[in-house]
Parts: sequence; C-alpha cells; structure tokens
Amino acid sequence: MSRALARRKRAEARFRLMGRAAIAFALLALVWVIGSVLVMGAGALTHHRVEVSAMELVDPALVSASDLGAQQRRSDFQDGTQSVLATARLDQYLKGRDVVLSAEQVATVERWREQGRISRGFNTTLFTRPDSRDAERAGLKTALFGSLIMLALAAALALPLGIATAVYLDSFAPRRGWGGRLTRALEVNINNLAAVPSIVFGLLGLAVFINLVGLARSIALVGGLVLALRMFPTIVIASRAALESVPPRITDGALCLGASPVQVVFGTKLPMAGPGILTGSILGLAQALGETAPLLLIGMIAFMTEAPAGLTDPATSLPVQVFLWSDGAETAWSERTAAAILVLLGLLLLINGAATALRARLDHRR
Amino acid sequence: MTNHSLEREPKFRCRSVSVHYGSFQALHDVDIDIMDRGVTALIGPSGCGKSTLLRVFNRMNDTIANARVTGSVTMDGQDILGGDIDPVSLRARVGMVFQTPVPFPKSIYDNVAYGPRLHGLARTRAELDAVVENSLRRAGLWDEVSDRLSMPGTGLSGGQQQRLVLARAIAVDPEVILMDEPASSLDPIATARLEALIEALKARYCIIIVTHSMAQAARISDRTAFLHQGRLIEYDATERLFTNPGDVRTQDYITGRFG
Ligand SMILES: Nc1ncnc2c1ncn2[C@@H]1O[C@H](COP(=O)(O)OP(=O)(O)O)[C@@H](O)[C@H]1O
Ligand SMILES: [Mg+2]
Repeated sequence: MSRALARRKRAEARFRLMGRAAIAFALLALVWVIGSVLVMGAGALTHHRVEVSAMELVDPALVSASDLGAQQRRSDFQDGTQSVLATARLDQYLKGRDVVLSAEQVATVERWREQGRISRGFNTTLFTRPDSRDAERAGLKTALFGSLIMLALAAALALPLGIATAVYLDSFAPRRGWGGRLTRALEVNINNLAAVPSIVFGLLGLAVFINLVGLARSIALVGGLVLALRMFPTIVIASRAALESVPPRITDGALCLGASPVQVVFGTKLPMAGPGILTGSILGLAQALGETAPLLLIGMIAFMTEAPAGLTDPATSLPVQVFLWSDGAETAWSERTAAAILVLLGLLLLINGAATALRARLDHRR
Repeated sequence: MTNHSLEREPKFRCRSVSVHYGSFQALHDVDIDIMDRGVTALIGPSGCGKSTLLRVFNRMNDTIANARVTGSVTMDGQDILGGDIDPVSLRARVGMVFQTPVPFPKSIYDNVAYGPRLHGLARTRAELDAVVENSLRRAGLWDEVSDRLSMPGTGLSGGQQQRLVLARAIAVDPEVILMDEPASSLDPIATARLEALIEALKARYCIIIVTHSMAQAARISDRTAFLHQGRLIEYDATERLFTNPGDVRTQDYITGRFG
C-alpha cells in the first residue's frame, strides 16, 4: 500500500519535472529568438547623418546622393551647412560593422569626425518613408499602410460574417433530418477550412478575385479579401466555442421566462460569449497580420515606393516587407529586416494588449 | 387503476401523451389532469420520466434536439401542443424552476427584472421597481436582499439563489409554476423555507413539483402522481396515495423497497 503510494508520488514528481523542463525549453527558445531579433534590430533604430556644406563635393558612396541632390536644389541651402543621411555603407562603417572603405574615404570620414560633423540620431526614415532601393532611405510606410488597410478590410468583412455564421450554426441551424446533416457537413468543412494551409487561400484569391472577377494583381482590395477568407474559419470556430461555453441552464432559464430564441441569443448568449468571441477574433486578426504566403501568391511581391492610399492601390504588408528585405545582402538590410520584425511583433503585442484590456473591462462589467 | 380525472375543471388535461428521445420512448400514453391552484407532486424512481413530463407543460421538450411529443395537452381547454400556440407565449404563462438554481450573471435586480423587461410588463422605472420588490417579497427573499439589489445574483447562497430564480419566474406573472426537484441542492433549513413558500404560493398558482423525497411530496402536495418506467401508475389525492396505494409498485416505492 505505502509502496504504491511512494511510486505514485515519484511518478508525479517526474511528471512535474518534465513539465517544468518543457516550459523552460520553450521560454529559452523564445528569449533566444526575440533576443537575437532585438540585438539585430536595435542597430536599425539609429542612423548617422553628416553636416555637408553647399559647395562641398562629396563622395556619393558616403552620403545619400539623392538626399544631397534634394538639399542642394533648395535655395535655403545657401546659409552654410545641412545635415544629410549617411549611406548605409558609411552608417555600417561608423557602427563598427565589417565594411571596407578606400583609404581616401577613411580619411574623409576621419576629418568629418574631427570636425564634429557626424551625428547619430533616431532613424525616423524607417517609419516615415516608403520602401527604397537604398537601405538608408528604406522605410516601412508602404508596409504599415498596406497592412492596416488590408487588415481593416478583412476585419470589416470577416468579423460580422464569422460571428453571424457562428450564431446561426449554434442557435438556428436545423439539427434534425436532412437539414441537420447539411448543418453537420457545413461544420466539418468550416473546421477543415481553418486547417487549410494559408497558401491555398492565396491560390483561391488568385483564381477567383484576379482571374475570374478581373481585379488587378497586388492591390489592397484583393489582399484584404484573401485575409478575410483566412480569418473567417478562425473567427467562426472561436465564436462557436464561446457560444457553446454559455451554460445551457442559463439559456434554458431565459427560454423558460418566455424569451424568444432571438432574444436569448442577442440578450443572453452573445453578451456572455462576448469576451471569448473577442479573444478569438483578435487571434484571427493577429494571424492575418502575420500572413505572408497568400499575399505573395496574389502578386504582393512587387517593389513599392508609394504607400497605398486606397483599396485599389497596389500594396504590400509588413511580413511581405520582411520577406523582401531579408533578401538584401548587406548588413544594413539584415538590420532593417530585424527592425521590421520588431515592428510586426510590437503591433501584435499592441493588438493582444488591447484585446486583454477590452476583455478585462467586459468581464468587469458583468 | 389510474384515477386521472378531477371533480373541478383542470388546468391541464393530458391525453395519451408520449415522448420519444430518438427511438427511446421516455413516456408511454400518459393521461393526467392537473388541478388549478394547488400543488401536484410527481414522484417515481430516477429516470422514470418525471422531468420529461414536467417539460411537456411548458414545451421545453421543443428545445431538446431529438425529443418528440405526441398526444394531446390542453391548458384551460386550449390545445398547447399544436402549431397554433406559440411556445414563447406559453412559457410566459408557465414558469419553471430547475434543480440547481442558475441566476443570470447579472445583478439581483436585473435577474428579477429580466422577464418583465422582456414582456414589457412595466412602463416606468417605478413600476419595474414595484414588480421586482413584489416578486422578491412573494419569493420570501426581499428582507434579505433589499439593501443589495445591485449585487450579482450569483453571489447569494444556494437557498437564496433558488428563491431568486423563483422570484424571477414570479415576476413574469405566470399562472403555473413548474419545479424540478427544487430542493435537491438545498440544506434542510433552506428546504423548509422553500416548502413554506410553496404552501403560501399555492393559493395563487398552479404548482407542479417533481421531487425525489416522498416525505416532501406528502408534506406539501395536494395530489401526487407516481410514475414508473415512463408510465403513470397511480394518480390520487396525496393522503390516499400514501396511506392506501392502489398499485403494488406504488406500495413498493413509497415503502422504500426500490428506487
Ligand atoms: N435529452 C435526452 N435524450 C435522450 N434520452 C433522454 C433525454 N432526457 C432524458 N432522457 C431519458 O429519458 C428517461 C426519462 O428521463 P427524465 O425525464 O429526466 O427522468 P427523471 O426526471 O424521472 O429522472 C431517462 O431514461 C433518460 O435517460
Ligand atoms: Mg429529473
């Protein structure tokens, strides 16, 4: 008897230990990934600028030529010097990265440094400028706008449709006979839809919205539609789970007081399932924000130097931008890739934080 | 020998009522008349169909996916099984209280006000206040909660919650109150309070109560129906059924030989 007890205790201890080890491993992997992205991305958050005078002839390998050109065309350039962006090459050199400059260039940089003409500041370009061929002028504006527009469209379509579908399946769909069979077939298919690889949604978008409907490739509208398709099953499943978790005794209680099925759903079930639906929907939103493959398939791989202003403008999204930048060979590009990932993670954190806060408020109100 | 008829005009009249769950028949041709203003108890071993029969009176079997009810049931002479009566409006006239009280996750006030708001029974806030107070008083809960009406109903004790859902049912101003083992999750003191309450309410309402306690049935009911394996075995004045049962199965059950 006591031996069996001791064995059971040992088994429990072993199980606890394994659980803790698994958690520790997961945490370590997370810290390692986020840590390396942080270390890489932090570099791109600052950038060097150089004070250049009007008449000076400057090596375009050291300061951004287009920046310089724009400055020199301006009349207010007369009054002495202006600060211009250092090229990614110079910036990386100044940050102590492995960049080879010619002896002449090194001498110039040393002279600038002695004259105090080189300064390091926050890299506003990264957030305010669209994409560019030159790393020092490349920003996330295109991607941020694209992601925002497409996500807004996807949410506006998938949220009401998904929640309405869940409510219908939960409370109004036929349960008996042929109608019931149809309902169950529908449920199984929606569940499977959530497990379909996202690239298939891209194919669907390509076939339906572009080839069949004739919408233009790589525009925000198509991207939003594809992301809406992607979010839809997630939202339906999460909402159904939330609706199902409302105790039947509560709904029975409402029915017994003479509430109609519609009143039960909108007056009792939906408010109680609200927090769960919200969390599930946010999850779908976050998933859509990180989606890359289906967007690549509908042609969002193009190099874009203009932020989309509307649904019919060509667009790109944050993860696609990450994908595009990760192709760059120079360290300046890897830095910016990591920084873009940080922005993406930050946005996800923001969304999840908002969901948590909203949920806490909803729970509190009840 | 089933004495299903009453001298007075009954509230409910059931004729050959059968209920199927899928292919399983839970009730077999039940004929029973339920009197108005009084307590009718349904007793019988677990699984004999008491809850199923209770749900016939407010059409709650409709909400069970595979349940099918046949036969005829009238309330005040009007058919309530057919298509011409709306189960929603029927349930406003026939209230129900369950085994475990489950208040809505709302304040005590909003729990009681739920039904009146649904049916537009109060036009002004003052009227609604009056309905809530009245219902809580009738359910014997007013004195305990009058100073904390805005507290969540789920924070009350089990006995208080049972009286809260009773008040919630009363607030709709029903004619009938169905109770499915309302005391089974209550302690003896709360049970005694509930029984006293039922005693007070029966002058006003038709009450049908399912109970597994024969002592309780004997204490509070005027008539008792004994069900066994989905059949109504015996239905009589409570005193007669308990002192002089007409069927050997009733005899066995009330003397505790099975069930
Ligand atoms: N929803 C249901 N589906 C299938 N069978 C059911 C369902 N509800 C009850 N039953 C069956 O019907 C019979 C009567 O149930 P019930 O009316 O709950 O009995 P009681 O309330 O007397 O204990 C039982 O055998 C039970 O298993
Ligand atoms: Mg029962």
